[in-house]
Amino acid sequence: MKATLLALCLALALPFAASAAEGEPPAPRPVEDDDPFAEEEKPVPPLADPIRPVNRAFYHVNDKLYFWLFRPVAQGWRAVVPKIARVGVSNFFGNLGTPRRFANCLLQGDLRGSGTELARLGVNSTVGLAGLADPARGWLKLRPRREDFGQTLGRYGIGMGLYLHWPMLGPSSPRDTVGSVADAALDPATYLPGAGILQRINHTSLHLGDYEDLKKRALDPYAAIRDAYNQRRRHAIATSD
Amino acid sequence: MKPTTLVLALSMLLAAPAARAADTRPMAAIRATTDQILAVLQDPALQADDKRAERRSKIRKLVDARFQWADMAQRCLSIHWRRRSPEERKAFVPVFADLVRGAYMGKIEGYAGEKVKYKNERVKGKYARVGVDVLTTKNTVIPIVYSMKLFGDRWLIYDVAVEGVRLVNNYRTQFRAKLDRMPYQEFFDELEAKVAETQKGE
Repeated sequence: MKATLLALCLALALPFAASAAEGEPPAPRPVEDDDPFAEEEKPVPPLADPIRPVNRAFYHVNDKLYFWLFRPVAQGWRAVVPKIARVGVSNFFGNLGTPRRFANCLLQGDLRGSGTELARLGVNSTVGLAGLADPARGWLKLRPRREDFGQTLGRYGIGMGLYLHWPMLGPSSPRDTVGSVADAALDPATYLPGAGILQRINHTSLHLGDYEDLKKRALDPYAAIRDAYNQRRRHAIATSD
Repeated sequence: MKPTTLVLALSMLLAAPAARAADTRPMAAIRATTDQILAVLQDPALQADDKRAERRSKIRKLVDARFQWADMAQRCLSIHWRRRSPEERKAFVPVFADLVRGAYMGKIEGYAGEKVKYKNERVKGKYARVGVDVLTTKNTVIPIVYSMKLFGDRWLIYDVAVEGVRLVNNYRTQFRAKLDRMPYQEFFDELEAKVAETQKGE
């Protein structure tokens, strides 16, 4: 089943390899704009959304899931567990993500980044109490490189192609879905029963209010999320952060 | 005291930290506004619940003094701006400002001790980019880049990028998605209703 899904996603992603024009052309800049930074900040091409009705439906499912399930549970978790412990849990899962970040730094030729990830793992797993704390960032100023396989594929020229909004998983694309599957394989938390749900609830508890804020300031939350995903992924691929 | 030093001292006195003083550098301008907002948030005289409206009003003035809403609104409406009459444009700007500002007021008021690290500043003529890092209380770092332009003698913000997501681009996408499917008046009515609903909940 997983192999079929993987093959399907690859088949969807490949035709969009190195694609620049995805869907409509970028919006024209204001006529009076003589911004000298415009050259380096090229307009972001919109992300094609050919299955919009399906995506919107899945978005509404996620919206309801958040307000009916994840938010109440996360609020309960927040009430019971002090913030320092929840940040600790977040750090712990972050530490478990080292193999993924390390591998993708290497694949992208970022030797310094991969070295940093190894150093962070060493320090945080020992001095940082099995990853609960993050002295590597606090004391040694070693910040994590937020790399994943989707970004690696992006670096190698595979475009996002089209927008996919999965139930539960949220915004994605064929390329990044393939990337997520590969990332999950490298994440020890995938093999620990219950770890995924704990990570999700804990993460939600630390970010309560963010989604509500997004809805408050968006005229069209669905389009806002799609565009934010598009911009963020392009930026992440272009930078080595 | 040497004459030049005297002149310098006098000019600094005259350009005292009133809100409308001329800006020297864009990063200094951001820092000034941030510090002023922090001062309001931490003012013991404004902590009480019944002072909330006053606190909001002060923060709103500080925010408005640093954002060029008209420029942002024009960029967000993009090609649709050109088709709008002067009256429609005049009506759009404050509603747009309310939408964007209103949502961020909650974030500003939810300030819980985050630290701001001023990273870099690049200036090319009348334009600038100021990079800051916000260190949250959850051990994460949020990189923000302000796009600024010199309007007269003040550096004002016309775009903000949070983790690479530019605000103008995001609104332009949303507005285009709507305006592709409905006439402008319907879009504007929806925008006004949205702002009213948001303000009611505060």
